[in-house]
Amino acid sequence: MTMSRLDSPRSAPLFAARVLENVARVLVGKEDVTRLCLAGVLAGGHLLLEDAPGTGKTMLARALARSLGLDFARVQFTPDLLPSDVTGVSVYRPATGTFEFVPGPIFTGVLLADEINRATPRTQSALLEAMGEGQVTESGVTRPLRAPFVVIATQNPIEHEGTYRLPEAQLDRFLLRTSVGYPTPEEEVRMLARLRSAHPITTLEAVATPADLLDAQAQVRDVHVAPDLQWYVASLCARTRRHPQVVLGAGPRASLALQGVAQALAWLDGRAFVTPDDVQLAAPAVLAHRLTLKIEARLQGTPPETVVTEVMRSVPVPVEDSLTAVTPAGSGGPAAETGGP
Amino acid sequence: MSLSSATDPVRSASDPAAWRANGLALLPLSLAGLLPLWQVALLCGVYALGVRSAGWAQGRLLLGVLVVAGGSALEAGTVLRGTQAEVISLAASALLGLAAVALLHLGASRIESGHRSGLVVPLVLGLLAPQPLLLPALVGGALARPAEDDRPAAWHVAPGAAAWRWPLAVLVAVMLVALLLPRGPSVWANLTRHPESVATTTFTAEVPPEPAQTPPDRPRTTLKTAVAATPLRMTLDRSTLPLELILVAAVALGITMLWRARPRAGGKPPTLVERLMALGLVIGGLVGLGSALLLSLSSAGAGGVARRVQQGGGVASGSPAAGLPEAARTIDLSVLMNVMVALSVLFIAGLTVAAFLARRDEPQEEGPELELDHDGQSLDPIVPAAPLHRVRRAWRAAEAALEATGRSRLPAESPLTYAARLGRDAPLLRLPLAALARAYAPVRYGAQVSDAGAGTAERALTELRVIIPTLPPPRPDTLKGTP
Repeated sequence: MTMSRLDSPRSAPLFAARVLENVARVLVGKEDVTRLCLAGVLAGGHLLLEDAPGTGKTMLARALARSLGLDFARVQFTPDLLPSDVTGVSVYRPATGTFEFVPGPIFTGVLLADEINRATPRTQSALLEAMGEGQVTESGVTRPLRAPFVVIATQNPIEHEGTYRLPEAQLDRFLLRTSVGYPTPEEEVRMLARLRSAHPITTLEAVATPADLLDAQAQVRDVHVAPDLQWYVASLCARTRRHPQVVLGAGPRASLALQGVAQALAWLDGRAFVTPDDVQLAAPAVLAHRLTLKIEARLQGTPPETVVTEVMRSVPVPVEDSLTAVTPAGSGGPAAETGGP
Repeated sequence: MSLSSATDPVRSASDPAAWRANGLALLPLSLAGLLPLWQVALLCGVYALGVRSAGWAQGRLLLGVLVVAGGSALEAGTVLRGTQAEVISLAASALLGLAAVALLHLGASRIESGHRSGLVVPLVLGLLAPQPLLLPALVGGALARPAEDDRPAAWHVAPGAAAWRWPLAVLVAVMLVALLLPRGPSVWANLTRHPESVATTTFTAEVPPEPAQTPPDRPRTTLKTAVAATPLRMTLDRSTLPLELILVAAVALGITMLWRARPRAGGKPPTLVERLMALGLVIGGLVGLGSALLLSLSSAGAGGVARRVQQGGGVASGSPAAGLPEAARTIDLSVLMNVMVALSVLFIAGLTVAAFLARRDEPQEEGPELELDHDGQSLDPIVPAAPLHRVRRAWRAAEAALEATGRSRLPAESPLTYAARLGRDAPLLRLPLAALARAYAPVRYGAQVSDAGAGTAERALTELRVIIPTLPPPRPDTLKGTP
C-alpha cells in the first residue's frame, strides 16, 4: 500500500482513484455518490445520506471512514438516546472525590449517526456545536474534537412514524445531502457475486491517512475561485430566497458550502480552479436540503431539488459578456473581470 | 505628438504592490560601468516609461539601441578626426553597448515574466565592469519581478530545491573546464585595449632566433591554436565573401521592413514611440555596420597584428602564432564560410524581395470606421478595452459563429455543457468545440495568463469555421439545453 503526501492538485486524481476504488469494493456502481461524499469530506463538511433502507448508506459511511484511515464510531439514534450518550458525561469517582469526564463516541474521526431522525430534537441538537465548531461543551468545560472530524448521518425519508424532522439549524450544518439510490440490475448482480461468501468491508484497508486528508483539505481550500464565479454562487443562493415556492432559502452558510464543495470537486478533477460545471454539479446536493418549501409546494410533492434546478436555469453562467447579468445592479460588481486576461 | 495618455489598464489598477514594478527603471544602472552616465540615465527613463505604458515597453529594445547608437554617432564626429586607436575603441564600445542593451532587454523581459533568472543578465553585465550602482540595479530588478499569483495553480508552483540540481552541476562543470583551459588576456581587454599598446607590446617582445623560417604564405587568420605539441590549424585564408555582407543585407532588410510598415495615406499616423523605434533601428543598424567594418578593416585585430608583425620581419611572442611549430594539419574553412555567407545573404535578400512584393500586393487599408453621433463626436470609448487572451478571443469568435447559425448558448449553460449539447446535435462539432471549451476554462475561470492552449483553441476555431457553414439548420429540440 502506498500513501504518498499530496503535493499538488495533480496528485488529486491519484488520491481520489485510490479512495474511490477502495470504496467501490464494498459499494458497487456508486462512484458518483462516493465522489460527491468524498468532496464533502474534503471540503471539511458533514454529510447527510437520505435513502430507503438497504441501499448502502451505512456501508458507504463505513467504507469511506476505513479508506481514509479514520477512527470510526457508530451511534444508533433512538428516541431514548440522551445528549450525554453522544458527547460524553462527567462521572463522579468516590475514590478521588472528583468528577472525571468519560468521552462519548463523538470523540472520533468519523461519527456515523445512524437514523438520526429517530432521536429527539434535544439529542439531535447535541451535535450542533460539534458539527459547527468542532468542540464539545460539557459541565461548562469545552473540549476540542480531533481533526479531521466528520459526521455522516443517515435517515430514511419514507418512514415518518416515530421520527423527528431535523431542525433547520441542524440541516444547515450538513454540508450536503445526497441519496445513494438503488443499483441497476447489472450492478445488483455484480454485488451478489462479490458479496456471496464474505463481506469485503471486514477486510477493507485504509488507502490514506488522516494526515493525507488534512493535507488534501488544505489544498482544496487553496483552489482558485474566480470572482465572477463567486458572484454566480451568491446569485444562486440569493435566487433561492426569492423563489415563489420557497419560504426559507439558502443562507450565507450555503454559499460557503457551495463554494467549498465546488472547490473539492475541482481538486478531485486535478484542477486548480473552479468552473461553473463544478458549481452546478454541487448545487442540488448543497442547496436542496436547506430550502424550506411553502406548504402548497409540499402538498404538490415538489422536491426541493426541482427548485434548485429551476434556480440554476434562471441564473446566467459567467462566460463572455454575461457578467452584467450576474452582477446585481448597483452593487458595483467585479467590473475588472470583464477585461480579464 | 504626445506621450500615450492611456496608461496600461492592467498596471494602473489599484494594486498596492504596483509600485514594485518601477524597480525595473533601476535595471540599466548595471550598465553604468560600460556606458556613459547620460546614456544610462536615458535608459533608466526609457525603462521607467515602459513600466507606465505598454507602448513604451514594446519600444524598449529599439529605444535602448537608439540611445547607445546615437551616443556613438554623436561621438563619431570628434573621434573620426582623432587617432585610429580612438576610432577603433569607439567602434568596439558601440558594438558592446548594443549587445549589452539587447541582453538587458532580454533580462528585463524575463523579470517581467516573473522569472528570477532574468536577474542574471544585469548581474553578468555589471560584473564586466563592476561599480556600486550594480547593487541598486539588482534590487530594482528583484522588486520588479511580479509576485506569484495568489492562485496556487499547479503551473505556478515554484520549483523545489531539486530543480536547481542540474543547473548547479552544469555550472560546476563549466567552471572546472574553465579552470583547465589555458589562460590569456580577457576578451574585454582584447577588444577595448589601445592598438598602439598592442603594437608596442608586440614589437618589444622577444624575437625568435630564426625568423626566416616563417613561411611567407603563413595564413593570416588563425581561429584556434591547440595547446598540444602538434596543433590543428583552421584557416579562412581563401575566404572571398566578407562577413560584413550579411550585415549589409540585414540593414537593407531593416530599411525594407520600415518602408513596408510606413503608413498609407489616410492611415493612422505612427506614434512618437514608433518613430523613435524606427530611428533606433536605422541608427543602430548603421552604427553597428560601421563599427563592424571599422573593426574588420583596422589593423588592430588579430590578423592585422599578425600581418604587421610579418611586415616588421618578426613574430611576436604574444601573437597567436608565436612559438608554435608548423601545423601538422591545416583545415581550410574558407569554402564553408563562403557558402554560409552566400546562403545567408541570399536568404536575407529573399526576405527583402518578399517584403517588397508583399507591400505591393497588399490591399489598400482603409481607415478605422468611426461611428459618429449627431454632434459629430466619436462614440468610441476613451479608454481602450483591456486586451483579451487569445483563447477568449477564439471562444468569442466561435460562439458568435455558432450563434449566427441559430446555435446559441443558453444563458445558464457553461461552456462545457454547451459544447456537449452541440456535440450531440452535430457530431462534427464535438471534438473541436470540446477542445476549445477545455482550453477556455483555465483562461476564463483559472486566471491563466500564459499562452498554453492558445494554439489548440485557435486551431479548433479554424476547424469550426470550416465545419459550421456545412451544418444543416439546427432542430428545434436541440435549442433546449439544461445546465
